[in-house]
Amino acid sequence: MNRVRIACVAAVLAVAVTAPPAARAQPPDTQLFSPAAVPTATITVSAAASLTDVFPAIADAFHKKYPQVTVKFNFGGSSTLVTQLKAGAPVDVLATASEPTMWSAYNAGLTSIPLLIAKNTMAIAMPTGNPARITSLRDLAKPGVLVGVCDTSVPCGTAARDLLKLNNVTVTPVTRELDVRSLLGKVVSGDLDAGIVYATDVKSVGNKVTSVVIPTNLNVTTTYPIAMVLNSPNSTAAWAFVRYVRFSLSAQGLLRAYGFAKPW
Amino acid sequence: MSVRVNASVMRESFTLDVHLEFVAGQVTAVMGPNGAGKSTLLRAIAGLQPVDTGEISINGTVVDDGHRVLASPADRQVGLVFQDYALFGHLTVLENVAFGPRSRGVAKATARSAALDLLDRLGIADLAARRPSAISGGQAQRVALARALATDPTVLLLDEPMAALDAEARVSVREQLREVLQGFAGVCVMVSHEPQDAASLASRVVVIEDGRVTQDASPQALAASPATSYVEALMRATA
Amino acid sequence: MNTTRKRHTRTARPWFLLVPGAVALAFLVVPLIALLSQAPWGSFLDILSNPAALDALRLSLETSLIATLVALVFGVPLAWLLAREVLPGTRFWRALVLVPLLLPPVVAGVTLLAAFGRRGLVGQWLYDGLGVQLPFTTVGVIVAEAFVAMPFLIITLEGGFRGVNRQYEEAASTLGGSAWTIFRRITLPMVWPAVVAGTVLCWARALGEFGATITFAGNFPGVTQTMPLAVYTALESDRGVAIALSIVLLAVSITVLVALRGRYLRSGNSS
Repeated sequence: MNRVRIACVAAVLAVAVTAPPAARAQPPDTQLFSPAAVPTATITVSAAASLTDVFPAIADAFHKKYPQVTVKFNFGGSSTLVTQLKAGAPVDVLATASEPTMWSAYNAGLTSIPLLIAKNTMAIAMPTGNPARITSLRDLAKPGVLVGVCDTSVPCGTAARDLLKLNNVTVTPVTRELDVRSLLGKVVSGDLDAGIVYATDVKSVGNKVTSVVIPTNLNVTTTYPIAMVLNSPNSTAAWAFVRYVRFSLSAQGLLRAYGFAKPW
Repeated sequence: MSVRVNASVMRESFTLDVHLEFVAGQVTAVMGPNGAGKSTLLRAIAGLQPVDTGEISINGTVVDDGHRVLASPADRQVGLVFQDYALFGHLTVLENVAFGPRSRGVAKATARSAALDLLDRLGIADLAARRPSAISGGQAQRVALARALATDPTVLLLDEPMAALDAEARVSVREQLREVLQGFAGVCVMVSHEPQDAASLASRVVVIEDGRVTQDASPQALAASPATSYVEALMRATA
Repeated sequence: MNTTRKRHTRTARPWFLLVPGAVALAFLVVPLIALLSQAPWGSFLDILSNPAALDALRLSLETSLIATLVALVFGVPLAWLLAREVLPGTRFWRALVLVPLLLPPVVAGVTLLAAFGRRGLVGQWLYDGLGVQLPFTTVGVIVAEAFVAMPFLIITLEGGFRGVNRQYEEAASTLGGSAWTIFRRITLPMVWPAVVAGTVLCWARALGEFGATITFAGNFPGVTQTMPLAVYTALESDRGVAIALSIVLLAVSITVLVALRGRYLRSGNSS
C-alpha cells in the first residue's frame, strides 16, 4: 500500500512540476507559432470599432513574421459583429470591446476560449479650443453643453453610462451614437462640446481634440477579449494571429503605443 | 382698326421680312409653301414671337418695336386659334371657353354663362360639360374658335383652321366659320393651305414665299394672274 | 358546356418579358416574406407599445412629411427652371441636382455638417450670429431628409414639365392669362401625374433615410431618432425588436402608397 501512495504523490508532483505555467511567468514569445508551422491562408478578423487604428498596424507586423498569411478586417460595433457571426459570416477571428459580448459568442458555441489582449479607459474629448470650457465630468452637466455619448447597445455606451453613474453625474446627451468613431468625428468637427470616448480614441486623433483625463480610481475599464472562431477553415493561421496579438512583444508594444493598457 | 406689320423675323431657315397692313372687317388669307413664314407672321402678331427689326402696331399702338417695347400676348387683345386647337384637356369645354374672361378678372359664374351663350351661338352648347378628348375634330375646332372669341379680341388669327379635319367636316365647318367671320368686326387673318378656304372665306390673299410677300391680291386676281410658279401650281391644283 | 378560357395572343404576354419580370418580382417580394416569417409575433404588441417605438414612428412621419413639403415648395420651381433652361449653365445645374442621389447617405450627412454644422460654412454664421444650430435637432432631421429626397422630386418633375407642350401655355397667354394663372391653371394640372409620382418617391426616400440623418442630426429618442435609426439601434441589442419595427415602417409606407395610387394617379384634374 505504501508504494501506491508514494507513486500517487509522485505522479501528482510530477504533474504539478511539468504542467504549463501561468502566462505571466513565461516569456511571451515562446507562446507563438513558428512561421513554418502556419499554412498559407487569408484570415478575416472581425474587430470592435475602437481597434480600427491599432489592429491594421498589428496585422502589418504579423504579416512580416508570417508572410504567407494575409489578414483582412471587418470593423464594427461589437454586438453587430457577434450578430454577423451568429448569422454565419465567414470570419476566422473575433475581437470585441466587451467581455459579455464575447461570452455570448462563446456560449453560443461559436468561438474558442477567449484571451484578454488589452484594456481601455474612458476620457472626455472636446473640440480644439474647448469652447464650452470643460474641465471635469461635472462640467458636462452644465446647462447648454452639447454632450455626446455612445448608445448603450454598444460597449462604449455602457462604459459611459457606468462612468457617469460611478461619478454621480447626470448628463442629458444630445445624441447617442451607434459607434464611437462617429461620436469622435462630431467632437472633432466642433458640433459637440464634449464626447465620452475611449482614451485610445483621444490618442488616435492627436491634436484634433483636447481632452480631460479621468483618474483611474474614478474611471471605468473596458477589456478586450480575442478568440478564434470555431469551424474556421483557417484555424491554424487564425490561432497564430490570436496568440500573436496576446503574446508577441510587437503587438503588445503597438497596443501600448496606441493608448491601450495591459490586459493584466 | 388695323394691324400694321413692318418687320423682319430671323428664323432658322429663312428670314420673314414683310410690310403689310390688315384692316378691320376684312378677312385676309395668308398662303404659301411649308416653312415660308406664315405661322411666324401670326405668332409675331400674337406676341409669341418677338421681331428682330421693325415694328408691329395694333390699332395705332406699337406692341413690338424690335428693341424695348414688347407687349405680352395677354395685353394685345389678340385671339389665336391654333392648328391643333390646343384645347386644355383637363378642363371641360365650358371651362375652356370661360378661361379667357376668367383670366381677365371676370367672375366665374358670369364668365361661364357668357361662355355658354357663345357655345350656343355656334351650335355646340350640348358639349359644354364634355372633355376635349370626348369630342370630334369639327367640334373641337368650333370650341377653339369660341374660346378665342370669348375674350372679345380686336384681332382674330386662325392658323390652318381646317387642316386637321376630314373632307366632310371641312365643308360644314367652313360654312359656319364664314358666318362667324362675317359677324366679326375686327381684323381677321387666316393661314391656310387650301385655295378653297381662301376663296370662300377671304377677300384678300397674301402669298408668302421664303419669307417675302410674292403676291397680295383678291382670290380672283390670284386665279386670273398668278405671280409665281407656286401660286400658279396652287391655283391649278384646285381647278 | 360553356366554359370559356381567356385567350391571349402571343404578343400580349411574351415569355421573354414574363419570365424576367417574374424573377424581378420574386427578388423584391422574397425578402419581405422572409422578414414577416422572422418577426416575433408573440411580443409584437409589447414592442409597439413601448413609448420609444411610438416616438420613433411619430417622428418619422412628421419629419418625412415636412421634408416632402419643403421639397415641393422649393423643388417644383427648380424643376421648372431646369426644364425651361432658364438659368445659364442649365446642364451643369441639372447634374449638380443629382449629387445627393449619388452620394452615400453618410457622406451626404458629412457634407451637411460641413455646410451647416456649428463650424460649417453657413452654419457658423447661423450659430455665431443667430444662435441657431441645426445638428441634434428635429429641424436637422428634416434638413437631412429633404437633402437626400428632393432630387427625386426634381428629376421626376423636370421630365414632366418638359413634356408639357408649350402650345397650351401659349394659348393661355393669348387668352389673357398671367404667368401665375398659366402656371396654376394650365401647367401644373398638366404635370399632375409627375407631381404625384415625384412626391411619393420623395416621401418614401425621406421616410427611409438613415445615414444622413444619424450623421447630421444625431440619434436621440423623441428628438432625432426616427424609425430607421430606432431599427438600427435595436439591431445592436435585440434583433426581434428591430424586425418588428421594420415591419411597422413597411406597413405604414405600403398603406399610404396603396391609398394614393388609386386616387391621385389618374391624369387630369379639374381646377
